[in-house]
Amino acid sequence: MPQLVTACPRNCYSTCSLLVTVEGGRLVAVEGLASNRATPEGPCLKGLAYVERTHSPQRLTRPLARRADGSFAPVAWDEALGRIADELQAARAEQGPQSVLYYSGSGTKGLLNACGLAFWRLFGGCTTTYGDLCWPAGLEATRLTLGDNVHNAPWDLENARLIVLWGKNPAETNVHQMPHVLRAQERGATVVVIDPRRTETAERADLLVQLRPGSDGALALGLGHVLVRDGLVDREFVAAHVKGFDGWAERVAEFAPQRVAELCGVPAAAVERLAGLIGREHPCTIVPGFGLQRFTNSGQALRAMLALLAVTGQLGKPGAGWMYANLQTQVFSPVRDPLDFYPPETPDPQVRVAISTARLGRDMLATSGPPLRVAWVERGNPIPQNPETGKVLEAFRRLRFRVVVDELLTDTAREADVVLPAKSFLEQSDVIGAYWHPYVQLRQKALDPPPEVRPETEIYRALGRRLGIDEGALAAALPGPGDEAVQAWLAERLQPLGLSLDRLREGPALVPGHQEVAFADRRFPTPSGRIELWSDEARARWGQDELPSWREPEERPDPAGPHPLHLLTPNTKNRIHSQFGNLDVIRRMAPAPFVALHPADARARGLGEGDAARVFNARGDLRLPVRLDWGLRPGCACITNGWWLSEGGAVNLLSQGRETDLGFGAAFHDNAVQVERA
Amino acid sequence: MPAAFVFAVDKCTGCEACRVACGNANAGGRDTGWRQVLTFNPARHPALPSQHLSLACQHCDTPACLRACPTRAYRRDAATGAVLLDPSRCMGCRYCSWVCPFDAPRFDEQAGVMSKCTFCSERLAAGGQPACTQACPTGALSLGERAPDTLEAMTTPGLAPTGLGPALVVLPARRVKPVETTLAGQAGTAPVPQPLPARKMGFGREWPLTLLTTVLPALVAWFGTGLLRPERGPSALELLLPGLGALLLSALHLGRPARAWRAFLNLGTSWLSREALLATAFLGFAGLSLAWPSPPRLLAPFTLAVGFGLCVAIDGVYWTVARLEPRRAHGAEAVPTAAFLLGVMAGQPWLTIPLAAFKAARFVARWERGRHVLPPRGGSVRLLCLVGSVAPGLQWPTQVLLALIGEGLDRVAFYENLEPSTPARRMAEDARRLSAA
Repeated sequence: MPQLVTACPRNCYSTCSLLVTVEGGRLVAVEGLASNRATPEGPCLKGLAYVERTHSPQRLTRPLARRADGSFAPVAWDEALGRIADELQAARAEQGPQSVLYYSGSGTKGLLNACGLAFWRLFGGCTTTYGDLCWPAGLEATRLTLGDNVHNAPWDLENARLIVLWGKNPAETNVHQMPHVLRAQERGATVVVIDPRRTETAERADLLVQLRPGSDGALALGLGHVLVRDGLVDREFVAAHVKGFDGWAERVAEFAPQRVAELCGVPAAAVERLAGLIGREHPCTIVPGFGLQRFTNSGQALRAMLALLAVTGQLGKPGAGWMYANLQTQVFSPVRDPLDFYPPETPDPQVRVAISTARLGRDMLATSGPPLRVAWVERGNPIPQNPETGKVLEAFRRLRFRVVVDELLTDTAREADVVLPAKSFLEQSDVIGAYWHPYVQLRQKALDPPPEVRPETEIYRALGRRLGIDEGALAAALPGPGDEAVQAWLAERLQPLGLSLDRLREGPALVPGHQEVAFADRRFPTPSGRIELWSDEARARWGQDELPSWREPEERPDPAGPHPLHLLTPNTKNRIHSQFGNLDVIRRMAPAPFVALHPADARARGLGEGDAARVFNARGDLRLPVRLDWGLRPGCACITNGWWLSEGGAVNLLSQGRETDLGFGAAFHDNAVQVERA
Repeated sequence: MPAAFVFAVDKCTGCEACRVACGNANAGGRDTGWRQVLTFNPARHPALPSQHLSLACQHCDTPACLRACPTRAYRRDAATGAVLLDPSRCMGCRYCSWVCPFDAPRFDEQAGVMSKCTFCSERLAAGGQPACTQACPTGALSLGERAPDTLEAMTTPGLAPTGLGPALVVLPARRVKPVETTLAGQAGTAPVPQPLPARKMGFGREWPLTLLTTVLPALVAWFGTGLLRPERGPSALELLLPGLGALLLSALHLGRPARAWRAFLNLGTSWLSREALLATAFLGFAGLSLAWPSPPRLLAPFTLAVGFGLCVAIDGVYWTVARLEPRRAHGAEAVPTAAFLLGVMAGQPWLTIPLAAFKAARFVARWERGRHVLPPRGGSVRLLCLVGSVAPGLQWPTQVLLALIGEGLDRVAFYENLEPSTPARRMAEDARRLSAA
């Protein structure tokens, strides 16, 4: 049976190397590849579920067009592209090309994704978004402090004596990190988890700090206070490599443990104990998650967390550091994230980068000169996944025409006028990096797409012809047709790095110039060349304090007000955002959404296990059964992220379109709700 | 040593990749249901840790399923040690799922037969490993060697000594206490009972068996009555009609009724096979003995002996069920019931009084242990029936009627009391016990 090396392209830390077996045109097995040191044991359940997903009867295999009665009918490509071309031409002629919104999500990663924007430039231009839903506040905090988002190799975690999993739950969201954590523990490491929930990861920890959501910055400043007070600062390292220590020390002086205990809702003794660990148990690695940086105050919070490593000298050493994002493999674009997704300094005459991803619905509605008329969505499901689903839905419905390219009839596709069936990642070759491990991988074509499914590059080529775009220009912008041409296109991009397709067909390749220990040379690409606790750019670009600072999130629950509970919307092992939940094999594990409450909060509302509840705020409401969770911090309600509107669990009906303090991220977690009996 | 599953409790995050891998390898991407991932303390009770168990068939050295299966559908693969089920031989009686302490054989509703983990024996034989151990992304589930007796001292919730030599090595958790948390005000938390899994047995599901195992001892008693007091004995028709009717109902209750004949194939180790054979033999000999105008002198006593042998076999079937608690004699077991009914029907106080006392004592003992299942009114009826059937003032047909009602009720309770011990049930019981402690 033919076996091929490929890689999982989902927006996930692990980005597993895969060995896939194809038999009779069907994917029959998925295994791991031991040569990837970060994911040697093989993919998670979702990677294995590609066997079902690739051939799922739910997959779209023909274009769909909306009929006059509102329902969808399968149509031929000619008709689908004809309708799209007519609408695009009318939009361009009447309101200009920027009346077209090009929205691409993070559903599938690969270099070919860049072809989308290349096509829209040939069209004459478009409007796009800036910022990112996922991780910008943390990226920007890291960039401001360390100069770049790189970290030690995933397996280096085994060298740590102290691992602080701060708002990260790798047992569910990065399961391949757990063996490294456990190996460190076997070698005597202490593991601390900081999370309002008693997560699966926390079961293995030595200490679980269940702080109030959104108070991470205060905790970090309080830990700094104890480090200074108890003389646990590495003076030599600070003198050589840190800018702004004195200002920071003055700042943390305001955050005595007792005050921090009140702000965070944890005992002062826990603050003292954790600070003692961070000050003494070296090497120490802090592993922040993404959830804690989705608040309006979280960029500054992460700067405060970074300072703990800077002042204790825990950077640039084995087993030490800041394991947030490792963009060493982001070598195919001129700048790395987060700069890559900021609006350009000087406006692009063709591409209007004008819509904040975090405020997608509101900004779409407010856009004028020209207003938006057509939307093209690919690799994304923005209606349930972007904040403020109600507004996003309203904005999409306000448009004249919508095209969605997807494998499934998602909530967003259901709103489209034309839905084009998307390839699966196994049906066209591509090259991907990662953001946790340092491997460049070939996503090798293993299957032909179903007969009526075309890769995006082919869709654009056919559409371009209909729009009268010059054939030579199309050929220059888009690789193909055929996978051989795609591979040649990829080879061209690998060649300057000294990598070849043949090499990548054997397995993942370490990115050239890989640093196993990031910043081992103590060179920090900040303006000052030092670790910047004081950042002028924080003020100049973001209007924030030059030093790490603390303020409450913009929206927070008021125990006496109408919305006294904090809504948490974490990810689970069963999905990547809104993907995979449709599969039978996943549905057996997670059949329906629910709201978790601490029994004390449930009792206060007359709710018990399984009772129907209404979770609501001014933006929307959800009706869900209650599940009691003693491990959840009281005052919180928790609904896992990724359920579709059609599944009745779209959490962003409740969130507000708001940006984070740094990085144009989405502050999903500034979110107060009430829960009552339904 | 032959292969075994090795399971490291601390490494398992409950990710369920093993289940998906099993389905990929064995069912084209659908869930086989062969491997289950159980969670201890899913509600995160503050007194207990939360952990998982990933279990499938443990391919025991002494497989309870193989011994209990009446149809010889199971065999052991010599090369790999795998215990394999041939679905084409299975009649769908589900008995194997009662006796397996790991809840490994699953009933396939569509096919009407059992289905079970194969240890991926073809992959094993080819030098590979099962799909589940190969796929585990944390290394929690792996392939190792059998180490007999490791489970005997096991305190991991959900596991218990089985004495069957399972091919399972469990590396227990490093820590038995829950994580230390900063969350205050959780001390003295009331125990949160972990929900019990759905029941496998019970009257609702097993009513044809309840009927069969009440009717057959009653017929044995009636036949015996005919020997002591011929005027009270049955005719051949009176005995065969209910007997064959109950047997037929039970056969129709099988997943594959047409394969009911296979029930006789494992007399060597299966009580169910013995029950099937002795039931047929008893009805045959009894019919012969009653219909024959002048039967051989020893035929009737021999038939009665076969009848009591049948009752022993009926009870034997249930002795083998995997149990949560040590087995205790139940008042509704077939042997005492047949003897008691014989005493009532034939008017033999030397039989009825001690047996009624025994039955009453067992009934009260269950009540005291909180294992009563009849609602209070039903329990009173059962006791009244017991008293009425031995009360001196009543006519014998009334006594017999009361005795039959009482024994029928008690047999219902017998099925309701009996629930096979499964890992999920043991885990829930462990959570209740430990969170209350």
